[in-house]
Amino acid sequence: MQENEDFDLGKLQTWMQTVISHAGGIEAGIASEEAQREFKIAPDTLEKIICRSNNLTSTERLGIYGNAYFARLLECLRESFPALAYALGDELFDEFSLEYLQRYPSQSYSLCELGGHFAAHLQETRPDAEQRAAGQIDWPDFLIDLATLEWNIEQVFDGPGTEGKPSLAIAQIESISPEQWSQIILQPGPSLRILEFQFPVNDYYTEFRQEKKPEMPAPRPQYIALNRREYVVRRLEIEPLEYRLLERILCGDSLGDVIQRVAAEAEVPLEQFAELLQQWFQKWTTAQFFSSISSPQAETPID
Amino acid sequence: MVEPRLGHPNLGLGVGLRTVHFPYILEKHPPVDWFEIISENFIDSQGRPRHTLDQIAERYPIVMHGVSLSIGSTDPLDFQYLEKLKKLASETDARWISDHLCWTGVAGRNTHDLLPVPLNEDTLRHVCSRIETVQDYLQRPLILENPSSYVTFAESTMSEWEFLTSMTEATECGLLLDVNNVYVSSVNHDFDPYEYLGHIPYDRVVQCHLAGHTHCGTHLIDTHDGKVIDPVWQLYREVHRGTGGISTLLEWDAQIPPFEVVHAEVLKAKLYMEENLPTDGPQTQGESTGEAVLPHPLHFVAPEVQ
Repeated sequence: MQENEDFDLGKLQTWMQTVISHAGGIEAGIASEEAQREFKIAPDTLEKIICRSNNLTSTERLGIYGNAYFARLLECLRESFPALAYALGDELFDEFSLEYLQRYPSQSYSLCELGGHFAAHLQETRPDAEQRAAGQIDWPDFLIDLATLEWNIEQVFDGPGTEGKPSLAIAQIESISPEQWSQIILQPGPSLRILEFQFPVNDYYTEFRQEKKPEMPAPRPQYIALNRREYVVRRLEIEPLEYRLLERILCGDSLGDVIQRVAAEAEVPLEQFAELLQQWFQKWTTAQFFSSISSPQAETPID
Repeated sequence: MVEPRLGHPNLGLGVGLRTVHFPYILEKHPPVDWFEIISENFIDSQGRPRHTLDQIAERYPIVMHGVSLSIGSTDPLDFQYLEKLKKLASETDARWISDHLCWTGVAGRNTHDLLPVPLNEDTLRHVCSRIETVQDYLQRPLILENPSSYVTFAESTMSEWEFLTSMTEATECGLLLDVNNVYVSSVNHDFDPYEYLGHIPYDRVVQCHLAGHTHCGTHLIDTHDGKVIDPVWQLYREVHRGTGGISTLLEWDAQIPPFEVVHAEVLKAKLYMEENLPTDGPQTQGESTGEAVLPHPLHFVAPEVQ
């Protein structure tokens, strides 16, 4: 067997990857500056690299990989963002996705990571920076919110959870002595995420899943808590004030600091706030948001 | 003297584990000999997929089959990925770990495709060196599969069977012989699949794959979306004869039917072990419907949400 001393596997792989992942197709890929840096070759001399078969030319054969590259990744993004794909329609979703895949090509061994920058990409490439400042159009915010919700659902589904472990019960909170109360820190379960949206995308997502063919809603703030119980992602709408409290709790602040800060910002009478807190603690423990209570003065969690 | 299957057991007739079949398997405990998992669907899972796998691994032998090792790439090996493979193999008592003779990306990127390597001495040295590194790290032989491919390279100087034979002899890695891939590549690259099989070192074949594919008129695409066609069964008969019995697995990754259908398809292999013909007549070639057909791999786990 004869060896070619000039053979360079890395060069060939860089060239092939460039060509098959070129958004303009194989021929544009071959002609691209990046590919030409590796091999100065034209489509009609491609046989110097890729052999033809009895039925297909070299370009047609390489095109099989080129067609599969975007088709595979688009299918995966459609699976990750089904409601966003519905909202945009197939053609526009594919257009946005193609731009995304060129800007953020996969760098992970896992396809589960593929959509990780999609919401950020929509934000970075929003076409309306000037109009937005003038308050003229807001649909990009809706799309970004929807992409954010769907991505977080996917992450909560297969991320860490507390299945098989006890969650915090309301009785444990009620048993805390008044002296300890302000010092304690609520430990959130690892799946808990809170999200703030400009559009009611959680309602939109529900209607989409119920095949009600929702229209883009009018803007209104919506606050959502996501967590996982029994391996199923749970979505719970929360009040703006609840969101602020949970935000501080997730930062690891003590309960005393959390309540003091949020109550001051909220301008709610203290008695009313105490009543709301009681309702929310009940709701949070039922939803299994927290796994335990700890105190900065205690080395171990409080039972 | 090499032991048959490199000393691995013949696990019988297995099925590729897919999420759509999770509820059926957990409820019915079907009499499948073993399951093969797509490693990447589980190595990071901390939710339902991993929980289900743990339950299945308590009842059935598990084999891990990856699509991202990229043994032929010129990028550095990903040791974080290897560490996760090793951990999952230990936790599920995986009988072996396999991947493909291919590269999936370069310059830090992943195309998520199984791209072919030019078959020559340079590539062989490169691949063998990486196999040895991986085997040292995993502390077990790696099992590598012949991929379906759609191009051949002007720089190739040997056949795929010559490459595979040299690779397994140099590194003592095992082979996963995908019978459907042999057929698909034989049509795409104009070679005789029986000549290919005639040169395979059968004592180093640890497992084989069966799957369906799509005929696109001028070429075949390895879509894993249908039944095994008769010419592939005939090749399987040859492989069974050559190996004397081999762990056999059916892959079905698109338009996945109910579990019973998938299981019944792999059980047809018994007919070719005894040199019988199938009772429901030969399966003919699946024709492309004109819609986009995607080569394997495509793996994604849809979340469960309320």
